[in-house]
Amino acid sequence: MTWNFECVAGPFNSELGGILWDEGGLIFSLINELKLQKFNPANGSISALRSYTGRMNGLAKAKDGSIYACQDGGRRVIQLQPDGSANVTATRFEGQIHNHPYDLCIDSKGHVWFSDPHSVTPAFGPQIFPPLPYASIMRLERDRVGHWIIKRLSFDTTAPKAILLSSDEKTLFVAENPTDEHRNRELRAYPIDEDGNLGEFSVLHSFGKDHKGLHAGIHGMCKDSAGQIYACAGDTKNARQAAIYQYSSAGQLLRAIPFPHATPIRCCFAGENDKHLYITSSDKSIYRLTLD
Amino acid sequence: MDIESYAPEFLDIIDSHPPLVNIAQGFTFAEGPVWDKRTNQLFFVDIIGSKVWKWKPGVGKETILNSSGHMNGMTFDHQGRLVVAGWCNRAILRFEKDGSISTIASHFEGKKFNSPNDIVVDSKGATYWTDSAGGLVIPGMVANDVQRYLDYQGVYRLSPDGKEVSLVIGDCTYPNGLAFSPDEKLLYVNDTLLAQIRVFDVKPDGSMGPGRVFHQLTGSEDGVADGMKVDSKGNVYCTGPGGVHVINPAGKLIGRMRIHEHCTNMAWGDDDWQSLYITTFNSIYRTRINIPGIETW
Repeated sequence: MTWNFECVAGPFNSELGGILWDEGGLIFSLINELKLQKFNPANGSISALRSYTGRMNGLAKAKDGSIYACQDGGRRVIQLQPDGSANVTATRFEGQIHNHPYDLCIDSKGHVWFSDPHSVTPAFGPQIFPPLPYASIMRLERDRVGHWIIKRLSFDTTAPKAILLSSDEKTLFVAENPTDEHRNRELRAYPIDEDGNLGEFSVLHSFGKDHKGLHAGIHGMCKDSAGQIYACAGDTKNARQAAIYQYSSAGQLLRAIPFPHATPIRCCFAGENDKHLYITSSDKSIYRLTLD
Repeated sequence: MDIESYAPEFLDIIDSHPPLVNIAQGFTFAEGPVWDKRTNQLFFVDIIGSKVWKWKPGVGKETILNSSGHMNGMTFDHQGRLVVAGWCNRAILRFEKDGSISTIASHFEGKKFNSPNDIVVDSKGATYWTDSAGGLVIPGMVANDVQRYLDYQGVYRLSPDGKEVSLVIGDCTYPNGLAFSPDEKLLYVNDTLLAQIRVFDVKPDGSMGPGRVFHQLTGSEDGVADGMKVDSKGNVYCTGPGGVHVINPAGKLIGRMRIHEHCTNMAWGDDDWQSLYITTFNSIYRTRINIPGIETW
């Protein structure tokens, strides 16, 4: 079987960060160009959405039309308002500033779940605040008077990257990506209880190593309208080729689609029809896969 | 305090073993020092702690403002009012005599400032400040609205009547400290990211001629171009790697004051203006030199 990955944009000057399908187009972050842009598939054009983004990673749209973004360079989640301003959320947990948010999702209550791994690239400015001694899944919520507060949800992660809420919001899928050769990269499923806490995880997919080195694990994932999971995983260094993995909504591995253009980083569907899957690559381009 | 002398003239302005007294500590990012000659006390801020402080010899420190919006550089205007580079307030603020705080500038050409960093008032009463964008990204010290609207990190001037804001330098990378020469014919502006001090000829109308590089900072120790002041002989004192760098009017590094904390800014003070108050992230220090600095207001 051959798969047609069509390059629709790029290569850009910067690595690509978060992506988000919104109103007929694909919003994407150019991390080090500090820009957010939008690709319009109807005519192939690209328009500017935001400048001075402070190195933006994961993106998600809220019900009120605002977009939440992981600002890697500022170690915070920010909320991009429709009027062009950008608001901060809480950045301190138990008095300490958290790490570098990488990926996020918003639940039906408007709570913002994010992964908070360490980063080799320091934040902007003087390094006054050390990283947390742990790397967790966190959740931003508003307190009774409307101030943001942070809850720490995971106590058994060391390098959480991509995260995804199941459609029923009863499971949180987490890509746990330690770079330690004695541990595997894992796709985990955490049950979410009625109070919003995470239970004991189960491992859906474990990525080990081969004679070429460690499998890189999952960098980014999304779900289709049926709740099936699509995950960008691997890299060009290991024997098990970089691929888009497809899992059932329960996490059963269904197939692996080889990705031929360097390392796939993040993916998202164009709307609800599950036909076009957009994929960003480490070659700084955006690809489109048309599914049957 | 340890000093490093690179030219004999350095020892004309500082003793070989000058004092270094830690006068206050317990801050996260002390900055904005300015000496009040009327009351013999030092005002300064803690940017991350979001407070404004005062310190008086023999009395100690006291908070004068909580939740300051991470105020940064401060000086006095000609009526003895504190004027402040508001950082996360994204504005220039003034402490009024009735205890209120007013905004005296917040936009340029309809766009909100980045995050005003440091500030100086000249003898005619014009206010100059740097508008770097760090207050929109740096962890622990950002505004509520972190969107940047201006495409440059400029140096601005507010006319003495308070009516007109003009962009006087538009080609900086990250402007930070600024200080006039004693005769106010020159304005020195440093740039943190370029580790550089530039000098500009001040025109009679308060605008600036083209800049030229005055000094490139050197050193591998902790510390960056941040606060900057000039003494009465025209020597330039700039925070940098390892402490405070002293540069003569020709642009040559003549010595360093070694301070084993990350220095952020300085202010001349005491009756003879021969004390140099130095802010670091965590502390306020005082040292003495043998010539006066430049009186504030």
